[in-house]
Amino acid sequence: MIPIAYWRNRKVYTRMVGSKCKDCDAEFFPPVRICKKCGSRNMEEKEMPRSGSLLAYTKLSEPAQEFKEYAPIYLGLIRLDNGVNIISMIADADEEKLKAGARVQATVRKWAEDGKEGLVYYGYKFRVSQ
Amino acid sequence: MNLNAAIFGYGAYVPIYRIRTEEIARVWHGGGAGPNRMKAIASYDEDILTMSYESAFQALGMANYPKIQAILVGSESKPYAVKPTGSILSDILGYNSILGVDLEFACKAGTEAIQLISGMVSAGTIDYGLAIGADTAQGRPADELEFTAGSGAGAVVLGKPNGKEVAKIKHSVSYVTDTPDFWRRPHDQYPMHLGRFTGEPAYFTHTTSSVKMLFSETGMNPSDFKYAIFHQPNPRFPVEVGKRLGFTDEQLRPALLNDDIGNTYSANTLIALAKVLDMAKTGDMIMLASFGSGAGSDAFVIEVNSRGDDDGYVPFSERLRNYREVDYATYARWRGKIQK
Repeated sequence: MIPIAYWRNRKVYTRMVGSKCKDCDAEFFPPVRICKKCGSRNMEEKEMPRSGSLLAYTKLSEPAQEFKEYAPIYLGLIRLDNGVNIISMIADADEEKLKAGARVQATVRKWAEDGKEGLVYYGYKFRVSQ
Repeated sequence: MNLNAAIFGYGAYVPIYRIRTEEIARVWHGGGAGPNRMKAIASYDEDILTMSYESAFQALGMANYPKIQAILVGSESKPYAVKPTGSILSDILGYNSILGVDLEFACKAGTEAIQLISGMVSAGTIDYGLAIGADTAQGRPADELEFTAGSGAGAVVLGKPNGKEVAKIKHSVSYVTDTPDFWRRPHDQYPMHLGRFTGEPAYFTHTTSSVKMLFSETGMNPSDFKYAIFHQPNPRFPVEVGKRLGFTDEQLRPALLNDDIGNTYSANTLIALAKVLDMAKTGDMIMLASFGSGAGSDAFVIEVNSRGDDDGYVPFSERLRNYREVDYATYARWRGKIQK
């Protein structure tokens, strides 16, 4: 990962700060500058709800190099409680519990490390609610 | 010292994964088991920052997200040697006008955080602070510490008592000496220890000294308490030290956790406190004594008030029932014990 790019986007990655259109109330994650629904530029920051439902998932046995030591990686398509769909890594994945409709909640986990000397990158992941 | 501070929220987090000590003994000792049944281990994507976040999120929710002005994180397994966990966590939680600090004192760094924030609150320099103890404890492969060195985090939100608190922190003392029972030099991956030396001259001497000092300063004695919480490096020590000080099984048993999760180091007594607060009733008195190698012990008198509305709150003991076992190879891979 690129440290400065991560730093600039850290509140998106950790606090799930997206955007909301002040004109039509549509919400987006990741944040957008122009409303995809009504075209307005009248946008504000909005933290996304930290819970939702799993729509589908996939298992990556050969992920990108920076995630290789964490393989297999589970990626979920999640509908947040405000209706926004996002893709997120799944933490503590148990395939028996990864069913469509399963309730999931966000947490913060390590995403990657730049070796032993570089930065540790943290971000949201979702896990199936107990 | 007399304190005028209170707990407004608490949280405890233990990773979902466990390894049985039989499995560790199978690999290194040809069979048998450790002093505890299992220990909790952090997943490959967990460290003390992520576990601190989990426990802090619970504690802040219970306290209804007050304006926090200090976050102190006690740990001996920080992700960075230089870069504070407290500041990273503050940023993630959305608090920036804040004191974000890391503390270290082996297994008692978490109670140091409670003491310091309670002092700041009592003095009126802050309104609310967050004290955290968290560790992904490291045990050298094949060493006896490997049986017990576990992972977890505990957090408490502290502020001035106002009648809505979960519990009051009424008094605290500390006792420290230079005792070489356990240490880790810079750049070393695993701690060193002096085996049996960690019992009598270290754990028992410091813990009994701090608790006796607490009794002396407050005029209290074991019969004044409903619960007694001691640091739990293994299942035996907390019971033995409690009995030596005059506590009964009924006072000691509710806090015991080591058999199920091992020694979570800086998180140890904070997690046990969460377990006890889950079952405590208004007016119950709690005696809590931590121990940190090197060596020292902090002791507290805590008076329970009420947790208030707890819609949706899942007690810690219930959450603990949900776990998954992993084998030694998975544990070794996740905890960086395999050189690539």
